[in-house]
Amino acid sequence: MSAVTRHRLLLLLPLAVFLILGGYFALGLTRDPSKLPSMLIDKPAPTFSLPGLTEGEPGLSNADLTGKVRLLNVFASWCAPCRVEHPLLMRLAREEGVTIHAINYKDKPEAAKAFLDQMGNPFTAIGADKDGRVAIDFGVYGVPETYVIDKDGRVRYRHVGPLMPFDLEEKILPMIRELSK
Amino acid sequence: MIGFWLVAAALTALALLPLLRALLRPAPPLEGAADFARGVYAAQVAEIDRDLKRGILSDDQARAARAEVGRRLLSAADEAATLTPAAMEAKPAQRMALLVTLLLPVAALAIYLPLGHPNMPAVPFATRPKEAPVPPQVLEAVAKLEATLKDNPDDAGGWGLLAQTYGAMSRPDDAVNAWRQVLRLTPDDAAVKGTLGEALTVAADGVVGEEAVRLFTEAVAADAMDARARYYLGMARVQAGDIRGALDRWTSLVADSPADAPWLPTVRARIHDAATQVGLDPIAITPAPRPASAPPPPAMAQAGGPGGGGAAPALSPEQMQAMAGMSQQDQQATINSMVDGLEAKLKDNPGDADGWMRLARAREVQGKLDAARAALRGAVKADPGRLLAWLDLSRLTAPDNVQTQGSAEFLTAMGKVLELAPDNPQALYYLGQQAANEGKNDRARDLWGRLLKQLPADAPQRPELQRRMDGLK
Repeated sequence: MSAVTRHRLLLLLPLAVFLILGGYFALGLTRDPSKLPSMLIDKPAPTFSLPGLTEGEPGLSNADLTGKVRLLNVFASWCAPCRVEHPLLMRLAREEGVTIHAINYKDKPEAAKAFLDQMGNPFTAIGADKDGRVAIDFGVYGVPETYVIDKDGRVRYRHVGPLMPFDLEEKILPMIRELSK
Repeated sequence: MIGFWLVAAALTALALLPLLRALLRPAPPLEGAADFARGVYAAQVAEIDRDLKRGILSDDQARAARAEVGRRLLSAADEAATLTPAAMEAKPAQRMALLVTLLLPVAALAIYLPLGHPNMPAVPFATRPKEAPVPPQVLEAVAKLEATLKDNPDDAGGWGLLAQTYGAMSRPDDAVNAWRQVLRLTPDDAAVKGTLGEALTVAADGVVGEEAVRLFTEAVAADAMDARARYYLGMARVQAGDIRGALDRWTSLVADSPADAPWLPTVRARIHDAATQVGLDPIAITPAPRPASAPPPPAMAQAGGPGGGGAAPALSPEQMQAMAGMSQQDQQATINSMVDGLEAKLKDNPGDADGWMRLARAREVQGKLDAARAALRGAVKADPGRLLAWLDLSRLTAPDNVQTQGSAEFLTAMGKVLELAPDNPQALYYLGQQAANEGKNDRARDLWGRLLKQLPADAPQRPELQRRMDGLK
């Protein structure tokens, strides 16, 4: 191969890079990011053990996630969509009798406390994930996220983004009823 | 629109420029291998000559070397000759340039027209409402007030003023904290609870949290007609995903509200949105409100009627901020002097009915009811056709007990009200009572009958009124 032809092929490199990237982007556009599949679906929740929000408060570990169907909600006081879904979680806990555990994601304990004081605390137990390690194990994509965990501690459903009344009635509540049988 | 096409044309020209430059650039002079070889051979010939002079080469050797160089030179020239046709072609590609200049914009248009939307409106990154910058005087006044409250943290009025100012400055979290202080000092004030609940809701971007729900519930327990609290409690149900619960709360609020309540349009709009969400007919489920209430409750009267006046003479922003820095006594003194000034002005110009109305409201807020009544008398004198003045006068002269007949002035005012608003329930009631007391049974029956027609079927006053009507013999 002469020097000239090699030079010419090099000129085609940007085009090749563009085509490859373009292909990926085109593929990405056809997917719905809210239906992000979880690696964990139907698998046991990852092993973790988190401290409580403050010293002396019980934390949360994967051992707490067995025995009955429950929700695991990942929230943070700095996250505006978490505020939007919060009244729904309150209703689930207070009026529908659903047990909800929470992972407080990359938050200051006092900010999380103030948030729960004002908005109400629907959570049975809260684990403080200050550095976000456990959230990485869960593959948390962005707060808020909500997982349905079955009696055996397996992740059965994952919801990315704030819960809406529709999600509750159409998906979460029927699923909890089904799994509780 | 034209701007877009101009920009597009400019960009196309910009894209064409480098292409044309490449196509129209004259071919570089042929510095090919032949030229280089020629230079080398010339140098070699010179070398041979030098060597011959220095005697390194003999004449024969030199001749042979020159011949060798000459042969190579010839073959190099041959090579150059075969290259020349290619070099000739490297001259500016004018035809190609013309073609590109014409085709590129045409192709761009051909792709853009079916795909593009030149009329699509721009989508700005963020449409910010223009916030008026806070004037430095206000900031100064706020700082002063904060300092005063640090020394005297039990001044509920000061905290309230600060809270309102924070709210107006779009500092919702600070407003919440200031309202908390007000509530700490006046723990039984249901209105403050509602206000704190609203501030919390604003600070949470419109989400009614648990604490706000508790405050609103307490506010409604203290005053069942707290429309704001009842409205937000409905909002909380929507946010909890309980649309029907929200509809129950809002429709009962409509049923309890007088038809002229200022919040009715908002509540009706919410009912409409919520009902459509769950597939209900908003019109069918929205009940009729109670008949328009008159005289209006003081809180609404203060909101301003045709006179346009608030509780006190309107303050300019400078006066407001000047007052913000004053102690409560000073504020009161300033307000008093302004109201007195208004009264003095009206003495010189007694025909100013609006002025009299403003004065009456200011006096009422100050608690000087005699002065308020005097001002209202001035108002009805200046403009006897002003319904609101007669309504206010009747309200301020009304008897304490609904069974009492009331003073002559009260009954005159009610008579005027009935003239101007033939359906006014208060006027129908009291004038009917007067007629009954004077033995004019037909007139009493007529007035009370008209009142009965207005009352909703389940109104608590109904049986009593019916009984009294039956007693008219």
